[in-house]
Amino acid sequence: MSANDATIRQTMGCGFESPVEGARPWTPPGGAAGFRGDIEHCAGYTTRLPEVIETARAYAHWNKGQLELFCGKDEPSEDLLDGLIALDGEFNSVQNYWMTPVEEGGGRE
Amino acid sequence: MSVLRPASLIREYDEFSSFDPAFEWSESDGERTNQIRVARETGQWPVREGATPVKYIMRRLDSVWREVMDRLGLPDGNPRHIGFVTATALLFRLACVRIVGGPEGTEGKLERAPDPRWDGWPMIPSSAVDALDALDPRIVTELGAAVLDRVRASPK
Repeated sequence: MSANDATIRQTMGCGFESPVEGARPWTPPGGAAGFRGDIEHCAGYTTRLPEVIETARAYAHWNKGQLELFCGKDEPSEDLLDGLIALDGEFNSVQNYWMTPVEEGGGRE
Repeated sequence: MSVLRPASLIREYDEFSSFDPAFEWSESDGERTNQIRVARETGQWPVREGATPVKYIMRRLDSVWREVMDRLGLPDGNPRHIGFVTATALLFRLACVRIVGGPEGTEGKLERAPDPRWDGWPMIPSSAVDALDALDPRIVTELGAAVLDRVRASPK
């Protein structure tokens, strides 16, 4: 993405650039069991955000029942728990998409 | 610039004011607005060579922000109504833990104590806001609004 010029990045919804009307960030495959959300910025930008990285790291602990270990002396915030639930929901959607045959709207050949 | 602690959902993080002369922004208003958004979201601040910005060490707010917003939304005649500028100053006082390199009156560890004027919520003293206002009255409003943006941007 960074190899493209600023105008191209803007139309692809690059979060580092000023937003433009009609920008279309890449989204994961849609369909009956696939991604259904609207996104404001491209995934390359979003996955560089500190709070997103922190939530992904927390998820690795949370789904093994070890969130307390990740948080240490800090309490898990309401926002972190909301983020974990959102990430888990999307993770399940992706799994569901790849388990569902193409003819039923999924991604399994 | 010392190591920056990026925005965090559970730990203290470093925040900055875009009005700090230590930062170098575009001359264009639109581009500048975007640069500030990116800096605040990614933690990549464009510091001028040799300059050191004032650092505001913040913590994530719990649900107290909703009570502040409720008071902001009360009708003007209600004695508990507060305006936007007061609300942002309140959010700043609730979220700020320490100020590094700030004006006189903001150095060292700021004592967070319950303020009877604000339902006993623990926060830094109003004198810190006064000291920052003397420097530039836009700082506290900007940082308070940033506190609100962070909690509102979270998935709900």
